[in-house]
Amino acid sequence: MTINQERDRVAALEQYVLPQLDVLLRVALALTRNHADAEDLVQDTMLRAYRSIDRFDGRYPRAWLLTILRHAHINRNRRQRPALLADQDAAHRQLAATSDGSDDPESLVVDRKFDGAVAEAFYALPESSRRVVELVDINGLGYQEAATVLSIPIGTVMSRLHRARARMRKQLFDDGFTRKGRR
Amino acid sequence: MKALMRMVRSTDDMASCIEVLRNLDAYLDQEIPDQRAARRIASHLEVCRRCGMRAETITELKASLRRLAPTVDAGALDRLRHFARTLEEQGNDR
Repeated sequence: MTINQERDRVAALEQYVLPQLDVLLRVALALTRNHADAEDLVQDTMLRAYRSIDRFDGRYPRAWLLTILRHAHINRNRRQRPALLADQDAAHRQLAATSDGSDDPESLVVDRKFDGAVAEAFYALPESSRRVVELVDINGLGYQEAATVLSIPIGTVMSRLHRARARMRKQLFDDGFTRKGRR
Repeated sequence: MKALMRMVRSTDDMASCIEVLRNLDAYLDQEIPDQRAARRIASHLEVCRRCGMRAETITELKASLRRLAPTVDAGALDRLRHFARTLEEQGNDR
């Protein structure tokens, strides 16, 4: 490889990879459920991206990186058993952090009781739906990006998301959170 | 006057409840690539109370879920940036 090509690689790394570190770390955390594993997975992704960066056309860097991250994750799982279930301790800490505090039923902005109920409804979802909600609603991925990360068709992302939201809406309604006067 | 104009707007410019409910998730996720289809849904949501309320509920749900996002570990980000510099230095040394 020439010096110029190497310089191009370094520039491409800075242009395409570094701005996506935050989202890569979030998605890696969603996949591994463990901070140390997530960091290792992103590091692995960066290394693979750096090695193949001269074949990248510069379009949709996030989608490109998420594909690499997905493959890196699959390879790592061949070596070690993945943590399949959500980190229950983290889930409970999250619930504890969101379900107490201010009592303002009319607030449409940050309503901690509402957030607590949403967190409960989210953690009550079946694993497959919860993963889609986690990527799309919590981490802000697009449908195609979530499909890439989970290796499922985009139509499945859409149907799982729809079912998950319907389920959460029903649970919130049953908990007394209605549009006219939330509990 | 604006409200009146909306009421007399041709039904071609406005989606039906069934169409809206079928596409509401994608609309709120900004995943409807067809601008005209998105406008038809927007027009419907302006005048249909039921669909409008459903849209508001999903929007609130999405906002609340967004607040569940874990804080990214700043230390981890720093270490990954440092790793990028290592890759770059190795590349430049070659």
